[in-house]
Amino acid sequence: MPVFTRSVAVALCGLTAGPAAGAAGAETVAAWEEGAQLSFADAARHFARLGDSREARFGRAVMLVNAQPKTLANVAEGRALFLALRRERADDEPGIGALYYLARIAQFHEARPDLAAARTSFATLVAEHGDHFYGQLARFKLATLALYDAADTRPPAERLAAAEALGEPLHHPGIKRDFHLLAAEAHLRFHLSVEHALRHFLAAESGRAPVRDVVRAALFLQIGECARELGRHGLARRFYERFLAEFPRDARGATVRARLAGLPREVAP
Amino acid sequence: MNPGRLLRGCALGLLVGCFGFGAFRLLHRHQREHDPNRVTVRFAHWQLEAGVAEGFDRIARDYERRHPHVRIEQLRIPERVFAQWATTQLIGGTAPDLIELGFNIDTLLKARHFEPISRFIDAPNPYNAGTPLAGQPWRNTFVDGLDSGFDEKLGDYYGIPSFFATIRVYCNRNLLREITGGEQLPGSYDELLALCEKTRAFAARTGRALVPIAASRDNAPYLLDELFAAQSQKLVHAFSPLRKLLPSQDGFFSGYLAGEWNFDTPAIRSGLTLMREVGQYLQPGFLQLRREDAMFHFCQGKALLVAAGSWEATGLRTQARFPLGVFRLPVPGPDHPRYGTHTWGRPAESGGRTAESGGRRTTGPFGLYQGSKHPDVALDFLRFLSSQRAHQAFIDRSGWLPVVVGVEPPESMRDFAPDPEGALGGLSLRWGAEILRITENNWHLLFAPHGGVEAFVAEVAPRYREAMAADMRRRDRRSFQQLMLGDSSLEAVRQLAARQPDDPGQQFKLEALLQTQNERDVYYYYMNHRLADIARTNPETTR
Repeated sequence: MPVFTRSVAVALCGLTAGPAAGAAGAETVAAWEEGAQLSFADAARHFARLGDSREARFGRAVMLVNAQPKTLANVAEGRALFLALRRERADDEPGIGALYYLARIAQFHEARPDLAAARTSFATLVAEHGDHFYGQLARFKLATLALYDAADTRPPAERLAAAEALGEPLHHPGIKRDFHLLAAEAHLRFHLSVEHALRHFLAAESGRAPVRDVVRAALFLQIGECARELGRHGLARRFYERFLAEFPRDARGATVRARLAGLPREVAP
Repeated sequence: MNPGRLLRGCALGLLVGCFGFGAFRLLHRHQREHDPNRVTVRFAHWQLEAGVAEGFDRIARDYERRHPHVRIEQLRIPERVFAQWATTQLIGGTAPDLIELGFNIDTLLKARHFEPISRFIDAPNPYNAGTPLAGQPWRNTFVDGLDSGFDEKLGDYYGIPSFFATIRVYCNRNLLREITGGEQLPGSYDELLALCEKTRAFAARTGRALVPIAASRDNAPYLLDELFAAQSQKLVHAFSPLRKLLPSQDGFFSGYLAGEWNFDTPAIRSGLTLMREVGQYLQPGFLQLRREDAMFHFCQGKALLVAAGSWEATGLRTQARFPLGVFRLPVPGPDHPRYGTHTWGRPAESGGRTAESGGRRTTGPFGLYQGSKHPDVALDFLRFLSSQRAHQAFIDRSGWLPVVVGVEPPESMRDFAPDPEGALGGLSLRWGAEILRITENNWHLLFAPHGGVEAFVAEVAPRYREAMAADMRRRDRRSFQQLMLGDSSLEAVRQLAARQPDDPGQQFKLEALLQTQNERDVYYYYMNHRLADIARTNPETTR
């Protein structure tokens, strides 16, 4: 665990609780820190030493499924811990989280992925805890599966309509942003609707969630390009100019300047 | 005295002398490191090019003058052993305080042995006080906004870059004058070809061992890939529907499996023809040679041109006994009679931000070792190293391109500055490990005097599909693995962020990881869907 981070964690826990609780809290933070630094086996062992609390068991299960060496026994133990957490209580943080990770185990960690089981768990999360972080994330994962499940042979427009219906009620800023990017790019990948793609790109851009530089630069261009194709020159101009202002050294600048020069001036009505 | 005994005595004396000297050095270093009044910070890198050590040394001594209780030690590790050396030091717990990231220092090693620096980069760099960068967040003082220091898988910043790089063609001006009677560097593709032809004729006429272009397997791609990529511009952008104005590698290469392009596609033929045309002027046997061989050949005056990075400039100026000319590789433009159809012309060069737009040209990032005994001092030295004044001093000494905003490259490096004017980039044929293997094993067919495009295609095309499918499967496994691991680390960061709701660093990391993980989900399922779709319509393609 990074020395700086550990000191900060210990200090935070010590300040916000009594000495005993502070020490236990610091150890929990230390275990999560190990997980954040990809030391999953260490984190799983660390959580095991922290006793029988729900958070400790939840943390251990989350880390076990990725602990190296990866074994089916570890995955099975992780699944058993999640199931036990659900049985004891299904509506607190570890209980709700456990259902999300049971779905992810079915999706990725079993010897044979079971997408039907994953979908069922995600759907339960959406129905019972739709506003919770995991419920929101489950909605996004369901939308992704609706769109890109390799076994689904429905026409792209049908799959995209299903994904959009799933994603529209999202309100977590970061997950909503990612859903709009998913939908916009699907419209373009399947050559469905540039107009709808633009609507989604604009929604992703105007949301409250921060966007990484690389994604923001692309987003400005995607909006500019879609708007230009649709003849919305004022909008295209605005986003091309934002791109040039924010990313002046980007190699696409010359092309964007040429695009700008080629846009007809919109005359005010 | 018996000569045998004398010799043995001398050998023993020498051995004792060496041992004594070694012991003294070790003791001296030990004393220095354990001097209670002095802190030693060590930094390691593999940049052995001329001028770099002097540049770093100058910064180190400046820092020591400001902080007399600190001693800065520079460790120069040869490139060939750096990966093994760094891994051993990190695992053994004996690594220096700052290490140049790269080679095999991957995400896992970074996560376990390096300190994330995200929480420091939004504060101003105090060493920029009194400069136009005063008060600016540290991250914004770099031309790439510190993109190059960010690790997407960990959602954290780990490195502070130290230089910028471009690729240029170097020219021996003395030879140029001898061959052409003038000083004019080639400004177009046809002028480049004409110059190469003149060089060849000059060599034949004078009997001198001279080739137009020195090359090796390391630096020939600087020329050949760029030529091919320019010919692929229009084609690859047709496989990039997302309108990011970037070529999509996955879209383009999966398009091959879908039968949407092949080796008969005119742009591909044209790119290969262009590569062969220029390949004829490269040093014979270049596919077997390494970088040093090509540079040596050029420095000996046995080649008129060589393509190399800006980082070689100072070394070449020191070693070559002739004046150097420098120019960007001219590629055929859209008005070229033979190659104009498929190209938009020479691509623009990225000047930094963003990472996707033209490759990561900011490089040489230093990471902070978690086990550092003096992390605060090491970090402070990193701030000093990347401050505007210190970086200017480093650039002046090393002759490299600057990575800090407002730092001017030396006059001699003006021609190396990134050229922002130009078209969107294309792609070369280099991709996954299998494709790389079958193309690299057969390049000789393209460049051999009796070979050519047909010979190369006849050998590569039948095996390309299988290689592509293997590479796709490998990518699929890798993205699957990253997806699995991403869940556990995202959960950990989410738990930490919930405990520190007011820490912008933790919140940023959570957002970055959430976005990355959602992108991975989408990418994984999209690629699987695309490949399943291809398999349905072309069953033989994705075996």
